[in-house]
Amino acid sequence: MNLPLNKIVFVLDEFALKTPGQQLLDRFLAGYPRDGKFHRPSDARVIAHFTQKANAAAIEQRVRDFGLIVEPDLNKALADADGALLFTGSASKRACLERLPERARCFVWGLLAEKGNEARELIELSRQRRIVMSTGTALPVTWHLPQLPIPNGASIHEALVVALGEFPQGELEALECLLLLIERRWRPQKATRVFGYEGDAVWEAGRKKVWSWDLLSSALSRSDSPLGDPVKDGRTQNLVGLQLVQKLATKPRAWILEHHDGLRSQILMLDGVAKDFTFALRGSRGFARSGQIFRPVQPQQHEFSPLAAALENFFRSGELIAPLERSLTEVRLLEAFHRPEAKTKEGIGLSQA
Amino acid sequence: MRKNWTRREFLQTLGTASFAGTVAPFRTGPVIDAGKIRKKRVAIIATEIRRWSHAEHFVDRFLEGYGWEGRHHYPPFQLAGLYVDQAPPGDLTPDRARRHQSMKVYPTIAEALTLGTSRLAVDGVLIIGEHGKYPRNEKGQTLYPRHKFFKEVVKVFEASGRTVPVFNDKHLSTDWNQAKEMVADSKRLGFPFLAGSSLPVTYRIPALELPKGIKLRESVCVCYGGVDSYDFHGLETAQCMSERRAGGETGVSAIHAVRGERVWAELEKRPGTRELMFAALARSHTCRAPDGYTAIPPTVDWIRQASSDPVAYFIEHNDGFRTAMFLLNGYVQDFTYAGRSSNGEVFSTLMYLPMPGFSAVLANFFSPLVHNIEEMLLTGRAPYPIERTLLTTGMVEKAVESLHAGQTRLQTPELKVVYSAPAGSHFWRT
Repeated sequence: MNLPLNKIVFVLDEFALKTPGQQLLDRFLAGYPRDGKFHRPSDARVIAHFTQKANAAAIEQRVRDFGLIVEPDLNKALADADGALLFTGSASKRACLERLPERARCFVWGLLAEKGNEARELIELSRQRRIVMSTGTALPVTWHLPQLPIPNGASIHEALVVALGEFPQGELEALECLLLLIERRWRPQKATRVFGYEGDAVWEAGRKKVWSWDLLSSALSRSDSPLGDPVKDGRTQNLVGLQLVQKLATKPRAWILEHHDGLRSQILMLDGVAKDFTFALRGSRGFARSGQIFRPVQPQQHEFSPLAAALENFFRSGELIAPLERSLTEVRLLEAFHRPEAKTKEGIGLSQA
Repeated sequence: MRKNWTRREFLQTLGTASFAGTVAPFRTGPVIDAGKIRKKRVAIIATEIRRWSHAEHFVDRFLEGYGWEGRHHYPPFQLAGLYVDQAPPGDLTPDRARRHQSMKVYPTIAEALTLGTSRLAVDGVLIIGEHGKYPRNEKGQTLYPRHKFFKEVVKVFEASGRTVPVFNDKHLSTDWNQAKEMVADSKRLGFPFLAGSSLPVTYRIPALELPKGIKLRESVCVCYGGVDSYDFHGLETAQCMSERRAGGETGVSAIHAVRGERVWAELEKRPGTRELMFAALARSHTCRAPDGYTAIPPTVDWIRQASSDPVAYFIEHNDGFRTAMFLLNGYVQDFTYAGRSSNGEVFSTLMYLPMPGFSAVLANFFSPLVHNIEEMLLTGRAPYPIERTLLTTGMVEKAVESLHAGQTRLQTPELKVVYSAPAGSHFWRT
């Protein structure tokens, strides 16, 4: 199925350069590199609706240069839309889902909702209204370095993601990376228990092999931006072997997810150690992978180009960018991460989350 | 702290080099001390070692190891001898020597190779003649002492009656005859000789491998940087693809270098090249957008505006194949490639360089280059032919000359360098 795209609607709370909304709006308006060519979804009118006062000069520039249509009335903006992209809070998401025409496709940037019940309500609403909904960020569709695919059905016993950023945005990005990796394993099962660690407890957990130093070493070997001495004098450095990780990390956090099928997923939030996102996986029969989740340089941020391509496919075919199961899992896990019980010895069972 | 050796690494340290093909008058391979097995030793001959100088990247990878195939890899070699020609502000040589006392800094190239004895005492030599303060000639070429360093290395080989593999960073020389002489010396004495930069071996996004024997008609590289500098990288980017065409490399018959408005005038006459330029740009991650935007598809008008002093090299090969290279400073900051086959299919990719101070902390594109050097030191075979670097050296020199001669097209019968590409491309994909 390859439907024509007549009307794409962006609903945005803000509009500033280098925000996801701007990056994707410009790609639908002006075009983006796709499969070695510059491509513009030229059949679609691009409509923007701003829930708050937006940067008038930036909007006017897009109206003038690329024919952006600004529609202050949400009902009119969404009427007859083939697809919508929402960069908004929960209330606006609900309002959009109530107004989008049946069978429209709707992409929600980032986390579907902060609370599980809100997320389930939005999913239920989309189903009632026969709207095909998907959520996410650019991280699951960007390149891995090296570009070695994780085969479907891979046997994965341990997975570790090294990420950075403030809680909870950093954790959401880490989950976006992790879930994509582990969804491909043989008969994936949900996480059933979450354990959280902060500060020195992270290193104590490492000492007790709650998470794997070997996997951390493997992941960090893929970093192009280790911090500390490499910044000062350019040297390469074995951050794990030289026991520098503990010294470099500021406010470290670790999250361990136990899954029904025995998989242990490990998220290490290590600001101060490296500036890029990396991962390592270990499975049976020698299966191992590690890599960098590549985020191209700013301001172009070309991880948004494969996302624009995936979104265009989604709008034309209804093929989901990410299963809603992943979106719900992210909401459930972030809710659990917020709860103090996660940092107790017993952790937190996800049925309680 | 060093990690425990894996069995494979340990066995690698035991391996002796074997040299196939050429008949050499001298014994080649490592010194084996009677009754003892030791790590192979390496000497680095460098112009300067400061943060982000080329030599720093090589020296540190041998001393500190580097990330490779999902682990921190320590090369199974001892960097034993170091010669550094200059000591700029921020010179890191004393710091590296203090922290790694198995490496000695010598005042001459001969001593770095003999480790202070009277005979060659290392198993491999790296010549890193990039960066440092050296004079420029009337054509604007920086006269890095690569040829001089190389000849001093050869002198030690001849005096010792033994040779070892040699790596030369970047192009061989600013002078074609010197470059030819370097390659001839390596053949005459029968030692493996590897050269060039990281561009052919770094990550490609996407991981494009052109099959050997492909019916390729034209290659284009779009990049940035200076003449007699990054132009070499751009030409290598194209050449490591072009050499895979059916029939192999046949050499270059003419070169025409232009700059400024003439770039656009020449491009106007070459619609196929123009199409490939845009195909390459569609792989770039750094195309500058007009104010108020971050990333939008380019037009020729905008590129003209954004890149105020563009440079282009148009290169004709002996078999009718064509190469074009564009330095678009102010518009891009990366290296992209596009090629077209005889059936009109276009292939394109980005040669990704994590660049310190721009997109990364470490210049990790040196890691696959060091890996290929290690492969040569372990196997005694250069993984890709020195003729690639020889021809690219010649292209740079003749392009510089073309610019200097008023942007005239030059016939280049001397660049009839004929060679065949390796079976695999040896770029970073693991």
